[in-house]
Amino acid sequence: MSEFVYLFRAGEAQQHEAMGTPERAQKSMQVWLSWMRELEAKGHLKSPGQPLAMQGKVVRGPSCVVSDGPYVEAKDLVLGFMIVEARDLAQAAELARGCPLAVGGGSVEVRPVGMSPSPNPGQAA
Amino acid sequence: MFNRVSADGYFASADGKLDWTVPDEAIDQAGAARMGDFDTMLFGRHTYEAFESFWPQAEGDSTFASDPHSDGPAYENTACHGGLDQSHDQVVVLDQQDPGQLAEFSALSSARPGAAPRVQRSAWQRPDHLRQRLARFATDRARPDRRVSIRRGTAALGWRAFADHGCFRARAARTLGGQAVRLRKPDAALRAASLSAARLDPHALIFRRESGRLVAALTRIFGVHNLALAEDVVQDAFSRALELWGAQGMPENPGAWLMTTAKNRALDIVRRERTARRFAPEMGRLLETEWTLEPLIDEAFAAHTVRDEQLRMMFSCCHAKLSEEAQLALILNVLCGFGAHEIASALLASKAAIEKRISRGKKLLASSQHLFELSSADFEARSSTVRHALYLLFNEGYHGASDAPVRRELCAEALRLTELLLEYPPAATPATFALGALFCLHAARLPARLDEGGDLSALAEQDRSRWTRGSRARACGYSNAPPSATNSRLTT
Repeated sequence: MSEFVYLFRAGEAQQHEAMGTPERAQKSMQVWLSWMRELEAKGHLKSPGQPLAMQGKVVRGPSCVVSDGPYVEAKDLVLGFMIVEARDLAQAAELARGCPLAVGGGSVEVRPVGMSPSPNPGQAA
Repeated sequence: MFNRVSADGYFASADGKLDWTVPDEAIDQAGAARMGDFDTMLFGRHTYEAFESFWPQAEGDSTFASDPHSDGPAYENTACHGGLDQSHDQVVVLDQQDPGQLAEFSALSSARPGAAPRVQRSAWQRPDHLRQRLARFATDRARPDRRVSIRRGTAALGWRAFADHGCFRARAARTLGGQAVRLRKPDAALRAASLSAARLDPHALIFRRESGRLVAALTRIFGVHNLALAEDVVQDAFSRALELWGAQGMPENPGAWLMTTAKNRALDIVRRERTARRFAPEMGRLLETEWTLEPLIDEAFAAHTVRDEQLRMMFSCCHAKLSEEAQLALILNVLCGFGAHEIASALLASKAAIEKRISRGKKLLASSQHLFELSSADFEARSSTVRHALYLLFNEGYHGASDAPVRRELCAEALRLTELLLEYPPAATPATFALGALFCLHAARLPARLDEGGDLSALAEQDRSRWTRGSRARACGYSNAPPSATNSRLTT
């Protein structure tokens, strides 16, 4: 079994769609809960991770400029993360297909935990 | 074969199986045969008086001696002994006159827990709670200085009369010129207190109503091993409520207010202690993350979950390792929000004894790690224990305690918990419907059960216009409910 990180992303429109009213929020949370329950019951939940708050700071550039985040211009905000265990990337991706966020218009980025140096380490712009 | 007979004439066998007061030749014979082992029966004053019309026909060779302080009538085969209970030794002396021949039919020894149980010989005197129940019916604990005994040869007949008690009361009423036979005269102040208990403290009522639900919901999150923590949270929510409501008045929906407070407190506790404390194993790791923490807590407080958790709690309280008394005490404490003191007064036990029972029961619950699974194979068997416990609970209320002839709140709790069972399809069996119907029928009569003087009133003399129609209608609904409660399995 290998470990994979799920990065959950969604734009404002999708978030509003899912969480805009208390009723919708409650419904979304229930669906989310049952999806995570299933992952755990099948033994795939390595670490349940955490959702992330929308406010933050961004540190960027050679002089480490600190600016207010998040990325207001970004279409996809990272909403949170989770670590699962799966046989391979294909299975990890398959498991993510049940995620209500993906169904609701957001996305789940499935990334293997990098055990060896990745081809492009730490140079993300 | 031992029966509990209520003052207005219904009975149930000792194992809680239900029946109406139909004179039954076989029961009479079995009872009479058993009673043939004794030739002296010791009764309380009021039972003696209640059988007044019977004694002139009683056969036997015993003598009758009037108690010098007694105003009771004298008959050929009965004897009055004044002040027996003032010294338990006197009962022992009486017993020693004819060793093994004395059957105690009263609270004489149970009123004196320290006294040697010399006269508790017969099988029908056990278990203790049965004796107490009978004692409660048979004697006036408020006036323990008045006891009588009936001697020699009358025991078997006495039993017969007892089994036939429902019919007897009508006869007694006729004999006494239509006057009700008064079984109990509680102190006026206590009576007033018990009658107005429902109006006394709205906070206490809310607490009782909500506490069981909240504890059940919190236990789902915290796990049964943290039952004490769940109870603390409820207490805490309630004391905050008292502070706030005292200043601002009660909110429109106090139950919802308490629930929100308890929810928030649960969130705080889980966030703060999730690394240090182990919570409900059923929750797995989902309490660890904010992804699912709030949804889990919302779910635990949702109406259907609360109902199921209360059922699981109720079934867990009826653990085979717990005595019936302990089961009742635990149900009243955990599910009904009664304090040890209230339970002690309801179940005729000392507060210390109740506290011990409750804490032992809770230890057992905690050590079991999990609450009873409703899907378990034992469900059917445990349901029957649960019904038995509910029946006893109702009985406790219906027969009242030392300070009140009727404790309506116990009846109401028994009915509420039975309705909870009925909401859950697998538990809604004919027997449960029948139990609900029985409770409703009796509950319908509760308002008329006491006369204006606050004394118990016999069925024949009750003012039927005071019976509660709604409750009766509900009973009929239950007894007609599918599957039919008229099924013959009912009384098995």
